[in-house]
Amino acid sequence: MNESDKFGDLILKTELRAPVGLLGKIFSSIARRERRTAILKFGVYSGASALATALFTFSWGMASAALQESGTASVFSLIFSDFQSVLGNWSYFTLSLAESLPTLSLIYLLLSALALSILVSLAVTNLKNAGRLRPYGLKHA
Amino acid sequence: MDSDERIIKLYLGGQKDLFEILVKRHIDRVYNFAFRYVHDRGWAEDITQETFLKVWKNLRRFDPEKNFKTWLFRIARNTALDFLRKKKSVNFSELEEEDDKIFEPPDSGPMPQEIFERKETEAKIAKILDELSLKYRLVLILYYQNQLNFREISEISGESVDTVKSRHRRAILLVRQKLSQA
Repeated sequence: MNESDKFGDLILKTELRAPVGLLGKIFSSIARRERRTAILKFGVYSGASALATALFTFSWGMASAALQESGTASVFSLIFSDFQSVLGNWSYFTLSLAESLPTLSLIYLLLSALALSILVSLAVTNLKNAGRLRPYGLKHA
Repeated sequence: MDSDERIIKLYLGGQKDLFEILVKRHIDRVYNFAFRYVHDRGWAEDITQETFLKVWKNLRRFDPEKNFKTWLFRIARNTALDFLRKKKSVNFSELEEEDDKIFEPPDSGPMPQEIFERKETEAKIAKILDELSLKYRLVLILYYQNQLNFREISEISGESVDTVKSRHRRAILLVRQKLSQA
């Protein structure tokens, strides 16, 4: 047996096993890290949701004021007051309704509602993740 | 048995539980590597823990077409080097070691003579490795203990295959000297 074989033999003969509990420690530290990240993300998304709520409230106010000014409501009310005329001239009616709509304000309103719902759902997801003790469903974590 | 690379693909596809298999499969190898590299059980434990934490954090960046074992040992080696650089700071695992000893189950393993021989061999290896510089130590541990080839070791160490081969040759010459002195 030459020296390299001898050394290889020696090193393999004394192979160690990882200490009991090390696996648990690894998964606990991963769980801690994951939890910390989730809490941080929850904080960020909550803050962003608060901003989105403010933006949504502002857009709502702006859209309702614009709707009142534009006369869309009076055009729309024709459906209830003179349905036969609306039915007879439905293409003109649709065009008038579309023309009277405050498009920009409504787009702002829709976008802010969309942003708010996405941010709230992300905040809730991260809150759930932060509450989970076992991110992998492991017995070790 | 599924390959590491396939397990990683499935893990990245959403099967989060599979990470446990990956860790269980390599924990002993990484621990052994770390222990041989730094000669301290507490440090080896910390390095193993830190290595798998880094693997978990960076698994999305791993290219499944490449060899996972090489990637894993590169992380382990870099982590071990970081630990050696800041060796003067507190070793937390050493503080926990006393508690571990208390809960150790009664020994049903080898006989005292075997334990003695094992400890003697361990001490001999530790002494030999300890006297070698880190670059030789790395080659010997990866080649003999982890059965990696020169190409894989060169990927881990970031050196050329020829450099790794010549380091292996020189390391074996040094080992020969030390074994004859022992």
